[in-house]
Amino acid sequence: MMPVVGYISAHSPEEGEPRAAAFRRGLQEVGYVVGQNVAIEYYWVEQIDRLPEIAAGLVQRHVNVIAATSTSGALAAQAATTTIPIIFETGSDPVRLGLVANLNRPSGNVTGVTSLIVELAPKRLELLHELLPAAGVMAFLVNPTDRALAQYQVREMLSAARDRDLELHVLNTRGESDFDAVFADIKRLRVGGLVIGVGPIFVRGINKLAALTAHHVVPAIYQYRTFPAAGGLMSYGSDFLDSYRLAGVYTGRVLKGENPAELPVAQATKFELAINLKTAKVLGISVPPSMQARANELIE
Amino acid sequence: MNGPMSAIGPKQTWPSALHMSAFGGKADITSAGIRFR
Repeated sequence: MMPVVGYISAHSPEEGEPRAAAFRRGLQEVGYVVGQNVAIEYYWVEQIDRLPEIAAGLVQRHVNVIAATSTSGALAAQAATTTIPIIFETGSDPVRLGLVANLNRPSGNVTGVTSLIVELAPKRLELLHELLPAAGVMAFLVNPTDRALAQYQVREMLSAARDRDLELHVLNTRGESDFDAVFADIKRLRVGGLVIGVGPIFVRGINKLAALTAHHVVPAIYQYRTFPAAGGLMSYGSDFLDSYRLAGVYTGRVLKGENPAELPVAQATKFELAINLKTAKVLGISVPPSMQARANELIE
Repeated sequence: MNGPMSAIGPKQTWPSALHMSAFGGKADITSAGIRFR
């Protein structure tokens, strides 16, 4: 009988498909072709509060592997089973999240890939501050309903702001319908720069956020180049599609019989800085040649 | 069904309706999988 992978995504099918395609490429690299020798059941879960029920359903259905491609999805799957192998794709530190005991030797039924995008949030603050040395007040945008991810990010960012002697306002948003109100707060608080947090609602709303940062003249940084490509100022992060590909490779290896407890957590190694020079000019920011030289992509 | 599901491609081999009951019907079955929104 064909093995079945339960694939949990935090995105809609349309947003999530490029990621799922990368996951399938990874599976294929280790010999699994969907429809030929493996089946994937896709769960597109934009409602975080339904994750426990969905994870429990996958356990009940005895899928062979759960591929949980979000932090909340991975935590829900972990709570649902200690026997079915779970391969996660997360942006956070899986040890601090409690997903694994040790990066090199996970020791349970859970292992996977971290793109380290949350760990890079302080670096994003640092890069933004480097462009805006006179700004003493920054803001950080986070989704409080994605609780584990939000708490983790806020902790990291407050500590980074303290280290740099910056005042940081943590602004909450639950989705695109809040964005206008958030930007009213940003103006009211006289924020010099904005770091956009990690999470599906930001992936979903990135074009609107880019438009709002341009409209309100707010220098901002995000994790993916989709932001500067849409008219935002800059981005710094890892190649997330490669993380999904690696999660596919790990899923295939577990299907072949490898023990997740003995598969070290894979970590992103390639990070990219993208800057929209046209937006910088409109915002009145001069991007020093040293930073331009460090950028992997300059959008003009 | 929501959106351009044909983009997902011919990879679905599972009968989603079989386990829909587990979710109390409060989800959309699509050719791309089950969507909870």
